[in-house]
Amino acid sequence: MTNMKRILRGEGWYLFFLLPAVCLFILAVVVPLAMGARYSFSSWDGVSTTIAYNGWDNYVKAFQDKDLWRALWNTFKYAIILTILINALSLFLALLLDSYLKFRNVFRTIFFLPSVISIVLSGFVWNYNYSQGFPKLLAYFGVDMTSPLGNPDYAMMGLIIVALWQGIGSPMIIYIAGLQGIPGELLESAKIDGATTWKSFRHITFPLLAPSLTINLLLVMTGALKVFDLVYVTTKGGPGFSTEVMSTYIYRTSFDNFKAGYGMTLSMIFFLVLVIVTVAQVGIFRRREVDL
Amino acid sequence: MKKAFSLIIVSALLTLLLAACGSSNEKPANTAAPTNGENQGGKPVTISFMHFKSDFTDGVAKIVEQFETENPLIKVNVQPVKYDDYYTLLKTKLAGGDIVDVFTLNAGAQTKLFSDGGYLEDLTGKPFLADFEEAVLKSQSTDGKNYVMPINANPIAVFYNKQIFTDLGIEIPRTYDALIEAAKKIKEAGKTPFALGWKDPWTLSMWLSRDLPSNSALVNNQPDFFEKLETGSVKFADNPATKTMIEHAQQLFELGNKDQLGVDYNGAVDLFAKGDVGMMYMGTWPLADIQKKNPDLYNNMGYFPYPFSNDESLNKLEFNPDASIAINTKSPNKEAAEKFLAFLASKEGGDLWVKNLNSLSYVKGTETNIAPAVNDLKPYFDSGELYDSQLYLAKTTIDWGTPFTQSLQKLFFKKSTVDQVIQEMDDWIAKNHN
Amino acid sequence: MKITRISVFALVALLAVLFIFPLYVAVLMAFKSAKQTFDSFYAWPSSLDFSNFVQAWNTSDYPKAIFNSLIITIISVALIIIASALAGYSIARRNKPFYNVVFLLFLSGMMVPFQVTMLPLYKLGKSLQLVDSHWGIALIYGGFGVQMGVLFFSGFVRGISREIEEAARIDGCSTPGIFFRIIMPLLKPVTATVVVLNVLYIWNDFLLPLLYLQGKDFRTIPLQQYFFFGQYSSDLNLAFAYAVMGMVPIVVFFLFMQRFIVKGIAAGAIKG
Repeated sequence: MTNMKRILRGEGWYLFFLLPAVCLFILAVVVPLAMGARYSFSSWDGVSTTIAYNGWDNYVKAFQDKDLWRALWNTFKYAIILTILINALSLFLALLLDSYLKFRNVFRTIFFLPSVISIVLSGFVWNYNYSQGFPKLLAYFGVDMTSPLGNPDYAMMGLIIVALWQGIGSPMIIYIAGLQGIPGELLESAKIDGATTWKSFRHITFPLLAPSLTINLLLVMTGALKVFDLVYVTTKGGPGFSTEVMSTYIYRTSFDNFKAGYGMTLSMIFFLVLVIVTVAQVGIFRRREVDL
Repeated sequence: MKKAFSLIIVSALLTLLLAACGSSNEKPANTAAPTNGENQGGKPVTISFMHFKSDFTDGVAKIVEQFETENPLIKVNVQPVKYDDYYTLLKTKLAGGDIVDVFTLNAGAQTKLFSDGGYLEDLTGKPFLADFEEAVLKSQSTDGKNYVMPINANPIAVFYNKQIFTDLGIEIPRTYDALIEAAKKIKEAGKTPFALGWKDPWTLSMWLSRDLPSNSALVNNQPDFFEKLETGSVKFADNPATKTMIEHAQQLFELGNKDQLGVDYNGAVDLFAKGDVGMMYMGTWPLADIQKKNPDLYNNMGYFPYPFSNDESLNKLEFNPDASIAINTKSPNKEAAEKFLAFLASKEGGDLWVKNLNSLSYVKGTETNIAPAVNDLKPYFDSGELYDSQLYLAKTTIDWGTPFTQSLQKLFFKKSTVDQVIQEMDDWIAKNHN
Repeated sequence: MKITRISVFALVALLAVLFIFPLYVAVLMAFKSAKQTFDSFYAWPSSLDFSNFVQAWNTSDYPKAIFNSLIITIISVALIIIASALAGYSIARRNKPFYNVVFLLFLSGMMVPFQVTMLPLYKLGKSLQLVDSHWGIALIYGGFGVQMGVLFFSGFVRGISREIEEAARIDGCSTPGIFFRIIMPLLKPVTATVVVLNVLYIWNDFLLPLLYLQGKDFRTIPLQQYFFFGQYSSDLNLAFAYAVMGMVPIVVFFLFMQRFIVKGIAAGAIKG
């Protein structure tokens, strides 16, 4: 008993410190998730007051659902392409804006600016630019352009460009910070030894940027997998399902098709996929960083 | 149980956080509890009214204002919501136990869904329903009862540029083939036959959810096709009208403006307003906009029924109910809500609706003169050559329009064939509704 | 060498122009009337016309929306900072299985897609009267925010040497004393990070307000914007005027706080 008391005295404050965060977390995430998990075993339509449970039926159905696989495929296509492009472009800009260029502060501001605008706004603005702004501008040069969002072959690319425009700010700053952490003498001495710019980047700068790379890949990838607002305000999954991602598919199932129960099932599956991807990513990067 | 649990958490959390803040003890602890003070007299009542005519927010506000001046004890809290999000929001609210006293609905499938959910007050036999034609009430009833009160209706037809038509010597087409003939002539003359605006899914969906039921019911004599679709006893593949509709869609697409799926509704209206486009399939909504942008065209454009078939006698004017209105069964202010409905059903309310929303009212004897183009349709109204293709969809809750729109978009870009589209739709039905 | 330098500069400048262009079009639209846009898309109006702004200001409750956004952002961020600093500290200092499990739970919470919790959250909020209240939505943002907050704070605390703490403990300082007097002042950089990330997210968030703040009096800027776009969907110039008005506060915030923001993000990245 006294033992218990002593533990509590030592441990008590720390446990108490955990409490606010844990309570908020339970309220906003755990309880709703548990409720959602429960609905995922039902055929609830989202409207009626009575809920009929049907066991694992929804899950069995989901694995035979072609649309689910298509949505997953689109989601990963979007996330992977976007992650690569954002990281490539922001690293490129970071290298130039770290020290090389004049007016670099002005440029940094410009490249960061789109990140502070809400997605509702940028979707609205880009929608308009794609269908009116750019075609009318290009018409001056005799180029005929149609909105990429109106063509199933280009719609995904059109979305990725908007996301790239909005998403480059923070990764760029993280890379710049990473670059500033690299001791200048290292690059100096490499130069004296006659290393080319490319070689010193490949063998010195890039390996030392590994922590920044890890965090950028992780942040961009998780965000991109969960994309919803951008698709919702621009294409709503169309044309021809070409931009249907998991979250819009779930939304459509739950609300447009009145399958709230099945929608919950899909989101539980999506949740599992996200957890797996993240754990795998963290694992891979941990190992890589050790190697480097 | 769960409720109590979360309550404990929240209150624990609040005290914790306030304690953690320490210094300021005088925090206003509670803002959540509603103030009951004003209701003491039992007189002034506030009802909430959610509607989907958000394009006409100001118009609806004017109608409500008039109602409030006539009923000083009732306040109406109006919440306009964009149509695209309306049903999601309404569903979330009602399922979450929120009480919206009065809200607009579409007669038919949506009404059935909400009445099945037990949210709609039965209005059958209420005195204010006497202001409507019996036939209208019957057509908007669900399982033989009136859960919604009709408000307004719109013709959905084809606007055309009279100048282009006279220049090219085109007669108003009365059959589908003539329509395509006319369109081809316009294209040969270097102008755009149809303004489409199919970037917004609803524009295409609006067209296909009229062409298909019209052809199924009237040309192929399958008026109960969609009912049977829901029970799984027929498939899209069994209905020749499906193929007809897909072929029509393909033709419209090919004769449409450039970038058919990239230009949205506003863009299409702009194109038409510029005067280079021959025709546009649409309700009466863009009239005010066209008037503002090109007043000359506004006075020199016409409107004709969309000929969905090659049988002239079948091609009547599509005339659809737009908004209908319902009272929530759980509303604590039903009396006030009924007063509001009665106002909307009065001649005054009906006229206000016509004037402020550019639309036709179902209330008997209301104003019908809304725009020069719409007057072209007068012969059809006078002779009663009207029909409502949406009636054939009333008994189904399947929202097949949205996936069909997507499947068609694939077809337009040669990513699937007609047969694949039909197959895809049948698979979709099988997956979602059996 | 000089030529590469110039061509690289030109390339970056071009890219910058491309980045600015969509916003330029938005501002252009905001200053023109529908007729002017209709007649000539790219021409500047002959005189600066603020009537779109005036009308947008009058038809929407802009000051109220700003006020709501401000209040909600401030309360939520304060909650997040306090809760995650406390939890982050205790997780970092008690390297025991229980704390690590809690930590992992927070991490996996970050993976929950919003759609799963959307309907339940609304039901829950309704029954606890969290809907249509600044505090209610702030509690939910708090719950969302602590997940990443704990990650950042615990990472940062792990990098602080324990020696000072040990010394203070010998002097008889209790755990809360140590935290508030010694640790808190050291947390400034990571606090900046968490503040920045959450301000940007909460200020611009759309879906949660759509669910929780439907009462007119509580609408935030993005929500107000969304409704405004819906209501004036055929009056694009007015919508753009409102869009520009909506951008102004956050862009001004960004321009003034840029240094701080950049530092915040960078600091978080290195420690996190």
